[in-house]
Amino acid sequence: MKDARADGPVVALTGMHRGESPQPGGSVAMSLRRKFPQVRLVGLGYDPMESGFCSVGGDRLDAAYLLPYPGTGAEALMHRLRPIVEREGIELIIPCLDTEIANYIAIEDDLARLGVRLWLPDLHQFEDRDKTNLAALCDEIGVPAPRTAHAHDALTLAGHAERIGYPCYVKGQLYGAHRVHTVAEFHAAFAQIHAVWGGPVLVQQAVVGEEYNVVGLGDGAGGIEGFCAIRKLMRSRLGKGFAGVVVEDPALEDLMRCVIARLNWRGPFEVEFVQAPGQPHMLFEMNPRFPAWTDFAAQIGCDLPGRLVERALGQPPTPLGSCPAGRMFIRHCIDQVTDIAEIARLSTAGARDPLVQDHDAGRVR
Amino acid sequence: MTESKPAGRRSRLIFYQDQVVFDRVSGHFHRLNSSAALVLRALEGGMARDALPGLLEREYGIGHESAVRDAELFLNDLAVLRLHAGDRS
Repeated sequence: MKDARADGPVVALTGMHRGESPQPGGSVAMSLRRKFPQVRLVGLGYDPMESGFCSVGGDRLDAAYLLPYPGTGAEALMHRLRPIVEREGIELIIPCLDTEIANYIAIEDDLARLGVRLWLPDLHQFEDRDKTNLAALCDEIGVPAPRTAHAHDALTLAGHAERIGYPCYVKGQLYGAHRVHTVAEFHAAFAQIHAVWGGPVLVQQAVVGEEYNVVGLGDGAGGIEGFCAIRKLMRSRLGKGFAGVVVEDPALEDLMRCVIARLNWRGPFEVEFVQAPGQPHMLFEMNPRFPAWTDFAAQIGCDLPGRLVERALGQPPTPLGSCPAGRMFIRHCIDQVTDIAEIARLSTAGARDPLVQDHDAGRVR
Repeated sequence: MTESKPAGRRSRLIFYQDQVVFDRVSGHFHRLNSSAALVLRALEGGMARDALPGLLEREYGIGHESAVRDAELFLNDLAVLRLHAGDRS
């Protein structure tokens, strides 16, 4: 095992693909390298083609490993993580994908016995903000939310859709959302989502308006370590925010704080609101992880992944700045260069040491 | 008559060379022409809404009735855009 403290924290993270639907891991890695130049980053993924495995930039990894898919469960995850933790001296894991959070919560004690920390909610907190429970939570605390219902079968859910009214959204419990205008479109969307993600499937009132997202870090006692609120300026075909501008809206902040206080949320979060003209903000989703734009907040002074490391590892917290209104980001895609040999090595061995940038030749070797 | 807001708190609107205004609460931004910039600046400075026609008369040399109408129409536009000029936080 490496002497982790000699050079800087050793942090493992997931969600390294920064493609059409960007995962958050690369953004978290950028923030951590900015805060801790000596950090050692271990990328954990599911597919050798995850783009972050090829990066030689600020989100580069010092090592990479493949994991069993989240659907195989917590025991399989722990079995795979044990030798990785021992080899790399991992001190902290930051899971960045919705599908894997429950597994990590389940193995938190096992990881602690290996000296690995997590900074995640407990299972109750995690489930209370689940898409299937969020509307009830909002109702309890007086936070406006779109009308939402869920079911495992199409006929029951179609009845809910009729009551909510068309158009509405058909959503998977973890991923996927289709806007549907008719019963026929509803059934097609239900079949597609159920086939890919399983049940339950949700229907949600379609609220036409502006989208506001808030990234933050809960302290586990109802408070917030820091946050950044944006209005989405550009949305991709998949609904991903490819540009955003910081807002300073006390009403939005109050709603966000209300949710986090009720949950006593510990860990990163992204709350997603929609606001129809003349209406209050409505909370339509809460993600239990950093979003893919979290490094934008870090670049303007609010490094939430860095704060997570400090909290989880018991380090004294350095001050977090507030994000000034008007600062904005626009996502910019680039081509990562690698060699098929790297993909082959990761595919066959399930592990890979760091890529090295050959600056003279301008290529990766 | 709209009361002037207390001074000393941060303006809700941020102006960029009187050509663009950014609403830091809603996150919306808008292009401005010169007369819109003049009126928004005045409202942000604490001018009461019923003083706007006088401002337009002086600045553009137009008659009182036209100035009253222009001010009303502009305030209506602000309401539609939810641009709350003069708010402080």
